[in-house]
Amino acid sequence: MNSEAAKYPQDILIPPKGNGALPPITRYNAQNVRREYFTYVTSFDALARGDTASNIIALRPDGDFWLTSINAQMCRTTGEPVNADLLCQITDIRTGYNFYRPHVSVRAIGTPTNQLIAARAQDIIEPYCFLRGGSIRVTVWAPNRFAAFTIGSTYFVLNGWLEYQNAAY
Amino acid sequence: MNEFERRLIDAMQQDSWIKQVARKDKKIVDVDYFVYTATLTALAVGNSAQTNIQVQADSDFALAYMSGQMVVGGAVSFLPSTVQITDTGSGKTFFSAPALFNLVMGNAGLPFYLPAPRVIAPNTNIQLNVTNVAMGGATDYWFAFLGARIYYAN
Repeated sequence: MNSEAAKYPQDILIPPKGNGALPPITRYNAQNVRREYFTYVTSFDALARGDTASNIIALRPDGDFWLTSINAQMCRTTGEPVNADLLCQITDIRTGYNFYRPHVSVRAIGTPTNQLIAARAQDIIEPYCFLRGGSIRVTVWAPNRFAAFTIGSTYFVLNGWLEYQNAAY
Repeated sequence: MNEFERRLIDAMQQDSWIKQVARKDKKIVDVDYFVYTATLTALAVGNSAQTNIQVQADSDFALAYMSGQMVVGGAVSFLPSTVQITDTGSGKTFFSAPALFNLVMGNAGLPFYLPAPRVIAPNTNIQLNVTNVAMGGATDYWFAFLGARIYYAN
């Protein structure tokens, strides 16, 4: 345990949900001297009916990542944005915590229509902390009711901030 | 600096947003709204291009919003392009990998609101790398980085 006492209640690091089986965290937010905008990005290519795919985003070792919103966009193979019935799950691999039960439609987490509206952000009600050095798994799958065309690309951005223990100033 | 300005600066330094971006060891003497902009034109499908924005030497730039628009053949485009932004001073990128333009640059005149500000040090560059991955045509890109210039006493 660091000897520096927490001055305010919010100085105590909020452990990620589902953290019960892991060692206690003995670090204080007060030691994180700088927060800075950052976005983790992942994408999938060529998804058709029945496909499943999974990407793991390795998190930077230098800063905890506080997730505040998620955006996603699907595109046809010709490039136009499309609103297909793709499902997804987002998992904090370190804790095993799943964001959705059992899953969510990508349409529901901020998908553009194929008209003028681009992505809408799904705000996280309470910022979720992924500890430094951890990883995020994004899984997508196309159910049998999925449209009979192939999605060219599906892009996810996970927006938030990095909190560093040490900063240049 | 008159008395009003001095009191305004004092009050401003208690603002929670300014506290996130202010240098701890320096005294703020002024904060001004400012927008850095950049343009890339006629980027062909499958090609990449790079441009740099020089950040002024006299102030930190605290970035709050990003905004951008793509135009193909005179019409606003929503075809996919990817963008990566690098603060050349720290060498750090804004995204873990190139991100889809539409997802991080706002839309329909509404800027993308950064969940937390990002401070760019004086005399550095904001480097933009854009790739046109669409099946459309040559694309023009407009970028605007909105925020505040923060001036400190020497």
